[in-house]
Amino acid sequence: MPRHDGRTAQIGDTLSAAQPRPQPAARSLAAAIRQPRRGGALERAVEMVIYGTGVLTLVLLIGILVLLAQQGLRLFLEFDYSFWRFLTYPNAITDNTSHPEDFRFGIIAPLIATLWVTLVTLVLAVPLGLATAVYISEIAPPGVRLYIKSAAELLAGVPTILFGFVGLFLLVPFVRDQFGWGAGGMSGMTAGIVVAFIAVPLIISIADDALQAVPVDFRENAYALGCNKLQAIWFVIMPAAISGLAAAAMLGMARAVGETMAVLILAGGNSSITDSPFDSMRTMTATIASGFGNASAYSLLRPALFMTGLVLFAITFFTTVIADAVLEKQRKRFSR
Amino acid sequence: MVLKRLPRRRLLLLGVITAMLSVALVACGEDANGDDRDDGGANGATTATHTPAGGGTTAPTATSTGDEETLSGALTIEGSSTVAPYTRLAIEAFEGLHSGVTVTTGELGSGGGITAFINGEAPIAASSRAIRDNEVEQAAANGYEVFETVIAYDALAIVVHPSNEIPQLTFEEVARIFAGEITNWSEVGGADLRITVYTRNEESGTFAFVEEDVIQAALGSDAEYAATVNKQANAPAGLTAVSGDVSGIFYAGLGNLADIPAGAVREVPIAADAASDAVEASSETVTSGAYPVARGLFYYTDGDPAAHDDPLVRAYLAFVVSAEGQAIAEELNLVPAR
Amino acid sequence: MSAAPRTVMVASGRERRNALLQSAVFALTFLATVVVIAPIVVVSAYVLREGVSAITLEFLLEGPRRDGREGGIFPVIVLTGYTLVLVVLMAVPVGVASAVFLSEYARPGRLLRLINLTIINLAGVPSIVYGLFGAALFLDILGASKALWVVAATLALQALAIIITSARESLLSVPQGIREGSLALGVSKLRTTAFVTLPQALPGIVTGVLLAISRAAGETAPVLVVGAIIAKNVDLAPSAVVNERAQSLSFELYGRIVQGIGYPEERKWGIALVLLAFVLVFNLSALFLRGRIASIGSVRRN
Repeated sequence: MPRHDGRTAQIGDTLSAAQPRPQPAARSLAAAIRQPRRGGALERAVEMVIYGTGVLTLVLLIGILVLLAQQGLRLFLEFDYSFWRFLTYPNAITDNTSHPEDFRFGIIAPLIATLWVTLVTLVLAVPLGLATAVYISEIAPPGVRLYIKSAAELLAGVPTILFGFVGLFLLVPFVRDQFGWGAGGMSGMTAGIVVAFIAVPLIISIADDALQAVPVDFRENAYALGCNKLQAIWFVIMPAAISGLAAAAMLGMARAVGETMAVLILAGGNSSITDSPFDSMRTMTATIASGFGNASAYSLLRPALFMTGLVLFAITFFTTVIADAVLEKQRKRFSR
Repeated sequence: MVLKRLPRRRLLLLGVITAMLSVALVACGEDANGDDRDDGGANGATTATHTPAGGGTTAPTATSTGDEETLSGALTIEGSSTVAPYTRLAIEAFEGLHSGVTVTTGELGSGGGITAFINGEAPIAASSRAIRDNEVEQAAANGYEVFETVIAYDALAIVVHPSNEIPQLTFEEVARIFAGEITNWSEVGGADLRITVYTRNEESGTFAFVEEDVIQAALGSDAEYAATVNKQANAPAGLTAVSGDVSGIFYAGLGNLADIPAGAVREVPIAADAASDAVEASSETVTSGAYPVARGLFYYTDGDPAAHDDPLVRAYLAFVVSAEGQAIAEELNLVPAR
Repeated sequence: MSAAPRTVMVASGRERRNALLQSAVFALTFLATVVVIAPIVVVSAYVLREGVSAITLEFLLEGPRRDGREGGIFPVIVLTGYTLVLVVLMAVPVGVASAVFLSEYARPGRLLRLINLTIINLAGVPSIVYGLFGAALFLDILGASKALWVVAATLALQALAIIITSARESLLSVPQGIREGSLALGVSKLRTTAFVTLPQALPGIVTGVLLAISRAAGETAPVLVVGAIIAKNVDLAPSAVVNERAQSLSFELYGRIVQGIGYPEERKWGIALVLLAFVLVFNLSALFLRGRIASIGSVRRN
C-alpha cells in the first residue's frame, strides 16, 4: 500500500507516494510484475463503478426523455385527448379535470409566449453579449479582462428569482407608468429584458472562447495588410469565429427558453395566444410552474404539463445539439 | 492511456447491481407510499408505525383516546387562499388552546388543496368552491370519501385601484367585464381607459366560482372568462397588481382584504341588477341577500371529521364549527355557517 | 493579442475617419460591457440597502410566527443547508467518478463524443424540466413522498452536469507526466488516479462543487414542482431530510414575493439578502480558488 499521509500530492511526492511495498530481494522483476496486485479485486470493483458512472450521463438524459414522453403521451393514449386540440387550442387553461371534453389546453399559446420572451431576450442579449465579448477579448487590457470575466461569472451565479424580484421592484413600475405595457407593466417585453441579463453571461463566455480560439496569425495577417484594430476585428476575427459566435447565441437562446422564475413573476398571466411581446403572457415554463400544484394524479393536466415539458426539452435539446455541432466545426477548423 | 480489457462484462455486472438496487428502492418506496395511503392522509395517530417518508407531517401522539385528550403533533391544511386568512386566525386560537399542536396552512388554491387531498398529502382541503363530481370520483379512486364542512359564507368583493371612482357595478356588468364583453371603463361610467382584468389562476376555487356562478349565471352556460385575462398566483398577488394599476379590476374575499394595508384597493359597490341598490360587501348584506356575489367556504375531509381517525382533525373541525370558531369568521366579515 | 499598428504621422482623411470610427465602436463595446456588468451592482446594492434593516438576530435564528410576518427564517436556512449538503453528497462522488472515467479511462471515439455532447445537453436542460423529471421519478415511480431528500436528489441531478464538466476539465489539465511517472513506478492506474492525479485536480474540482452548490441554492423552479413549502417551524434534527418537506431560501423568497402587499416589504428584501449572501459566498470562493489555481501555474488557459 503506498504511503499516503493525507497531504495533497505534489509533483515531488510522486516517488514516495507511489512507492510499492519493498519486495523480498530474492524475487525476480518478472515474478514481481506477474504477482496479483494486493487489493486487486477491490480495484476492479471500483473501476467497474467508474465505468458505470461514465455512461450514467447518457442514462440520465435518455431517462429524462423517456419519462417525459411516458407521462406526457398518456394525454393522448390514455385520456384520448385530441392531438390536434393540444396543438391548436388557443388557450392553456390548467384545470384539474379528468374529462377530455372539459380540458381546455393547447400548447400553441404558451409556445408563442416562450418565443416572444426569447426573441426579446436575444435581441438584447446577443448584441450586448457579443460586444462585451469583443471588448474583453480584443480591446481590454489583460487585467481588466480578468475582472470583467469574473464579474460575468458572478452574474451567472445570481439566482434568477433575485433578478425577478428586483425587476418587479424597479422595472415593472417604470414600464407601467411610462409605457403601459401588458398588465400593470407585466409583459413579455418586461420579462425579456430581465431574462436578457440572465442569458448574457453564457453568451459572453462562449463568444469569448470563440474569439480567443482564432489563431494569432489571422490578426497578424490583417495588420500586415494595413487594417486597424476595428477592421481586423470586424472583417477578419469575427468572421473567423462566426461558428462559435452563432453557438453562443444558440446556447443563450436555450437558456432563455428554459427560464422560469423571472417570467413567472414578470410576464403577466395571460394564458391565451398573444400577438405582441408587449402583451401580458404566460410561457411554457410558467404554465408548468403555476399548474403543477393543481395537477392530481388522475387528471389530464398532469400529462399535459409533461407534454409541455417535453416540448421544452426538445427545443433546448435540438438547439444545444446544433450549437455543439457548430462549435465542433470551429474547433476542427482551428486545430493544428 | 493504458490498455484496458474490454469492459463489457463489467458493465453487465454493474447493470445487474444497479437493477437490484432499483428493485430495492422501489420496494422501499412502495412501503412508504403504502403507509401514506393507509394513513388516509391523516397522521397515523393510532398506529405505532413511524414511517420515514410521511406526508410531510410528523406522526402526532394522542396520549388517550377519550374526549379530553392531550393533543400534540402537526396538522396540515392545504388549499384556498381565500380561506387562508380565516384558517390562520383559527389556527392561532386553536394552537392557543392546545399547546404542542402545530397546524399549518398552505395557499396553493382550492384546486391545489383538493389535489393535495386526493393525493393523500393533506388531510384537510380548504376550498372556496364546492368540490366537483369529477374530483369526488378521483378521491374515491384513492380510497377517500369526501365530506364537506361549511365554515362560513363569504362575500366576494370586486376591487379596483383607489383612484378609480366608478360609483357601482351591476352583477351583469361584473360578469361581462370578466367575460371580456365590456373592455373600457367608460362603458360603465368610468374614465376612458382599457380595463385590465386580473383574475386568480386555475388552482383557485374563486376562479372557478366566478366563472360558474357569476359569468355563466349572468351570461349563459356557454360563457367563459375572456381569453386575455391576467392570471395571478393567489389573492394577495392580484390585490398587489390592482393596487398599482389604475385600469385594473380583481376579485377577492373579505378575509383577503383584511390582510392587506387599508386603502390599497377600493371595493366597488355591487347591485344585483339595474333596479336594485348597489351595496358594499359585508356580512349583513350577504345575509340579507342584497350583495349578489357570495359563496360558501369549505373544508373537505375524508369522512365525517367527528369520526376521523386523526384526533387533530376531529378537534380542529370541532373548533371551527363551535361558537369560538364561528366568532372568528364574524371578525373577518364572513357570515357564520350557524 | 498583437499590438495594433501605430497610426502613421501623416494621417490621411480616410485614416482619420477610420480612427474615429474605431474609437466610437470601441466606446460602444465598453458601454455594452458596463451595461452587462451593471446588474450585479444594481441588484446587490438594492438588496443590501433594502434588506439590511430586516436582518436581525431574531430574523436569522428564530422560526416564523404569524405566517412569517414576525420571527425569522431559521428553519428555512437550516433546511436549505441540509439540502445543499445532500446535493453535495449525492452529486459529487458520482460526478467526480464520471469525470474520472471521461478523463482517465475513456478511449477517444464516438462514445466519448456522445457523452460529452450529453453533458452539454444536460447542462442546458431547463431547470423546471429537471423538476418534472424528479417528480416523475421519485414521486411517481419510486412512490416517495414530497420530502426534503427528494428535492435534494432532483437538484443533485441538475448539479451533476456542472460538477462533471469542471472536474473533467480539472483532471484533463493535470500534466500527463505526473501520471506517467506514477505508472512507471508500477502503481496501478486506479491508485495513480486516486492518489496522484485527483489530488492535483482537487482545487479545480472544489471550484466546480462550489459553483454547483451556489446554483442549487438559487434554483427555485424544480423546488417548486417537487414540493417545497414556505417557512414553517418543524423539527430540525437531521431526520428532517426524510420526514419534512423541503424549505429553501429561494422558494421562500418566491412565496413571499407572490404575497405582494400582504407581506412586509423589508422582510422580502431580508430574505433576498440572505440568499444573495449565500450565493455570493460560494461564487466568490470559487472565483478566488480559480484565481489561485491559475496563478500557481496550471497549464490550463483560464
